[in-house]
Amino acid sequence: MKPSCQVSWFVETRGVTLCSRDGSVRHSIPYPHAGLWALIANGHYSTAYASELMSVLMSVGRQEAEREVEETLAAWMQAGFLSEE
Amino acid sequence: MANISITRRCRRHCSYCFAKHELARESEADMPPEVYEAALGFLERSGFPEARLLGGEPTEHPLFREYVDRARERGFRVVVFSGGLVPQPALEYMAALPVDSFSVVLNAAEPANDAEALVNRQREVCRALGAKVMLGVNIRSSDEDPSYVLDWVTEYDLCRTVRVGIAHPIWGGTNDFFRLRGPRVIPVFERLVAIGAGIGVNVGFDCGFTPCMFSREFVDSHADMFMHSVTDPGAPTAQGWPTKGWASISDAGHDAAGLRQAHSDASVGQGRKAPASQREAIGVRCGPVVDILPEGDCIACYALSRFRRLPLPSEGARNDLVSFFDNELSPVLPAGVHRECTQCDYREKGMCNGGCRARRALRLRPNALIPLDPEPMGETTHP
Repeated sequence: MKPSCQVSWFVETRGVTLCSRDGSVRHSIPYPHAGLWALIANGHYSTAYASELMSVLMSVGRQEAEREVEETLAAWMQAGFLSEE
Repeated sequence: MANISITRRCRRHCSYCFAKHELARESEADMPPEVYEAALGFLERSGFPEARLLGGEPTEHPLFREYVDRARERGFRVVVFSGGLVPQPALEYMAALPVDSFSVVLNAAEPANDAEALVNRQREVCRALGAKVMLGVNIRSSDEDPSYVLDWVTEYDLCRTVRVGIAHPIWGGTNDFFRLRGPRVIPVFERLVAIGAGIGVNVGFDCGFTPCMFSREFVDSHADMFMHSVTDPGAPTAQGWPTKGWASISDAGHDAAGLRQAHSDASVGQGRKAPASQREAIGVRCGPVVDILPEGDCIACYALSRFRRLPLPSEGARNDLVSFFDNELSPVLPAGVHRECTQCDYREKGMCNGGCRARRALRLRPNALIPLDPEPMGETTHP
């Protein structure tokens, strides 16, 4: 999983902003989800690590964190922000 | 404003040169007469009273004198941006021109670091041209002390305004630029203003400065420098951040393009009326300038010279090109040069549009702008 080649991003104080290369779409990802994006963008994503990170950042249990990661990634995939390797 | 770069020739090789990439480009060294005439026509259609000649070193163009004469014949006031290594015939020619229709912005050498020959030549230029010279200085780090330029103003009776620039990065380039470390005060700028005020020299700031480079006290006590004098319909607003998940946000008006101060009040050309002068706030001075290159291509500015370029249009005016560059750049750039810019009250109040766009482009990951020419940067190839 990696950021789509149609997307660029930049870090802001409260999160990450995604931007389509043609400038037609712009989305903000606030923390803690911005941390998840950073994992993927930096090539450090693994399901276990992402769930652990979100569990800590969101102060929730492991199961809930796993569900959050799964749902978030599905949404990002559907929106075209992410692509498979 | 729009500038005409009439030559790629330059012998200074400044490490911070924002034209570095363009000077190294394998293209026309000198602007041919037909392109120059077309460029003057473009300035006329755009309603500009000034022909601003850049380089490289514009005085090295073999037809420099003819080009200045031609611009003056067509009613322009001529401003030459020089690095100071001016050929003697060109210097003698410029010395004879009247101050009301001709001036030189001289990029001041640094006596402590630059070659003695360059410094001495600049002294000769100042001595010969006097009040026709406006000194400019480009600052690369907060450790610099450019106050020597103020001494020169008095010593050679130069124009009593000094132009201060900050060394900007060339997007996709390799020049030596001022590295900003977040929204922090850079004391040298207001120190220069204070020293200048003490001796009756005005300090004017070039593009890409942001209010956060100055202390709150300084901003509050110099409202004329930091506030618009006209209503800005494109003034940026703070972006609202959702508290959970992600959501669309708008990129409200990064650039107050319509606010660019076309000319200083003193720059009205012969027989040509200047557009209404608007006092442009320091924080909103980044927008497409439009620089016309020797071969006739147009770029938004040198810092973005590796991005898009357009051929010089035979019809239409500068605003058409500005719209094109704005439309290409604004949607893809971060709101400001710092990650804190989205929450900045200067931005919210319309006092800042986020600073230099080339700097903003550097924040993109991965780089979303497509360079025109992916070849590595070379050194200057033109003599």
